[in-house]
Amino acid sequence: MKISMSTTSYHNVEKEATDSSVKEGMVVRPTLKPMYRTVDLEGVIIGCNTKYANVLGYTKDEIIGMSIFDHTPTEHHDTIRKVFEDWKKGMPVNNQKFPLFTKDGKIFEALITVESVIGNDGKLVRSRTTLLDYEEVRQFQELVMLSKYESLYENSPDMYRTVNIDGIIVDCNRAYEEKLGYTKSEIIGRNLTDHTADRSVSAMLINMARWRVSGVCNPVESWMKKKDNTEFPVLITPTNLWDEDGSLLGRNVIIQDMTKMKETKDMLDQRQQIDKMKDEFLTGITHELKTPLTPIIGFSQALSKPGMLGEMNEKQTKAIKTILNNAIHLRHLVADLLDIHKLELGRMKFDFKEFSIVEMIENIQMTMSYVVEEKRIKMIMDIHEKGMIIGDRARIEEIINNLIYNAVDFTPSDIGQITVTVKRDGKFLWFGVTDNGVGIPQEKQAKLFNKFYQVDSAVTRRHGGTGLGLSICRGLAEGMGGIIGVDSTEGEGSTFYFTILPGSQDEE
Amino acid sequence: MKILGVDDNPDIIQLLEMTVESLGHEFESALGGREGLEKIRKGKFNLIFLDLSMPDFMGLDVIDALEKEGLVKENNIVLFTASYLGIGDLEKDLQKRGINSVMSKPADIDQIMAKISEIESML
Repeated sequence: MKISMSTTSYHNVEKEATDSSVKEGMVVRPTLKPMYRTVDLEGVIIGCNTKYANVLGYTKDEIIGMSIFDHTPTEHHDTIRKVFEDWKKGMPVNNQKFPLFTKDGKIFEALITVESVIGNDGKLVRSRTTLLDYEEVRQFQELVMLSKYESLYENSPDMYRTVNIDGIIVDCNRAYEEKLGYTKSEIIGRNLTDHTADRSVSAMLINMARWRVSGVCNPVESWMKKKDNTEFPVLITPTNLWDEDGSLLGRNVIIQDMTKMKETKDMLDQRQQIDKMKDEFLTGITHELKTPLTPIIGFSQALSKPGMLGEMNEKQTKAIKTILNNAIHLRHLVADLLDIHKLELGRMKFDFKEFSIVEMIENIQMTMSYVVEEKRIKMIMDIHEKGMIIGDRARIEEIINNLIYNAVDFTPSDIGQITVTVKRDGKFLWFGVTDNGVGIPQEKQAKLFNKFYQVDSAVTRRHGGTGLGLSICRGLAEGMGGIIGVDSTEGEGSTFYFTILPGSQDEE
Repeated sequence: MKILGVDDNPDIIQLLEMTVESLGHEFESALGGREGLEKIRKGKFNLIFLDLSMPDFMGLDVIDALEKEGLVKENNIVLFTASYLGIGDLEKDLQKRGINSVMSKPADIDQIMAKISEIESML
């Protein structure tokens, strides 16, 4: 079968190879034997090799004494003469293409290289000329090319098979043999559906039928069947094979084993499924945790309200207040967990409205005053941005309050000072909470915003933090288009800051 | 005042009852959406505490039914919700439809008392 590929045309060589009765399957070893002739300064041939004589159709004896012009077509004599004269003056001749003239009048092209032979007196004596049949060179190059392709086909780690228009396998490579567990002789001549898994046979038949009509061959996913009947997923990438007249002969197919890729994909799908279940579980469980908290908090509050449900003694009141405080802490924890969950899922909703920064700061001062006053810490408001802005006031307040709570925890009583700063930073609003407390060691600063990270767990126990505060703050700041960070020097204090990108009027 | 509590959780009904009665008001309860809807159709209430998520017939189903009968605005309905996704949008939508307010669970007894006083002062 003559095969040509649309990208290259090595059919001539293959034809040549079969014509010279090369056995099928035998690799053609390309050879390239040069012709030689020796020429004196008059252009008379004084010697040549057998190939030169054979190719030109003379005997060696006949050639000796002939002129190089006898072997050059008349119309090229002038050119040859000029090159010959130039050579005598010292111009090199390297791989120049010239026509040669055989005894029976055929013209062929040769690549000629001339080597100068110098006598003892240092003068030019004669030339030793190497001639390569240009057609042979071309065929040689193509043979090398062909063997390169053959090597690629045969040694590719992917499976290759060549099928004819009827889907009969006419060739395949080693990987194909090995992967399917057949020998080549068991494969050649089979229909490709014999190697197609049952689940893919009908799709493959439809694909082949469409291909025969249209010539369209796109990559397809399919399943193949090994000799032992096990099936595996593959990606099939076909290339059409055409004959010289442009009619479809068959297809060359690269088949990639997709088993590993499919395993990876299945694993990813499974992991996504698990993540989804985890999300649903977390949503559900936090919801369920909230429900019993309502009566716990409600009845504890009712009991601790003097006289609402009758009188209680001091110990009973103290006990119920402890229950209440813990229930409130639990409510806080559940709310934080929900916030973190929402932030991680990207489902946190922000409520952007216009509000006054000054009013917000006044409110913060009021709510936090009892916290700072308890420790006799001074709180200073340093407000540089006093206008109206568009943003989620409740969430901004939440971040600032959280940072103030943290600052209070790490700032000494009586001499402690906390400064809340608001200023504009380009298109961002910058909020800072600065304290003169203990500061945070450098190595702990980066971890501060991680979930459940505590610089000092004793403080958490004392103040009942959830370990989620700063990671929620980070999520909120980022959700509002900003960043969060800390500058701290041990023993001097810390500044926690965050930015937000305020909305513009026309967004509302 | 006459106040209705609709919730499938009897503990919350008990808490509402206790709070309402401690303030000297009259309390009625329904342990499901359908029962609640029947009670609202029959009698006039000054304030209704309605749970959003109940099995079978939810708070929103009650509101949909009342809306068809034009009964939403004449009842002061406070919707309780423990749901946490998108409350902001839900609240805006419900207030447009005539709901008094949305309270998120776990609700505080002080919030409940404050709401009762607020409605009382409007009468």
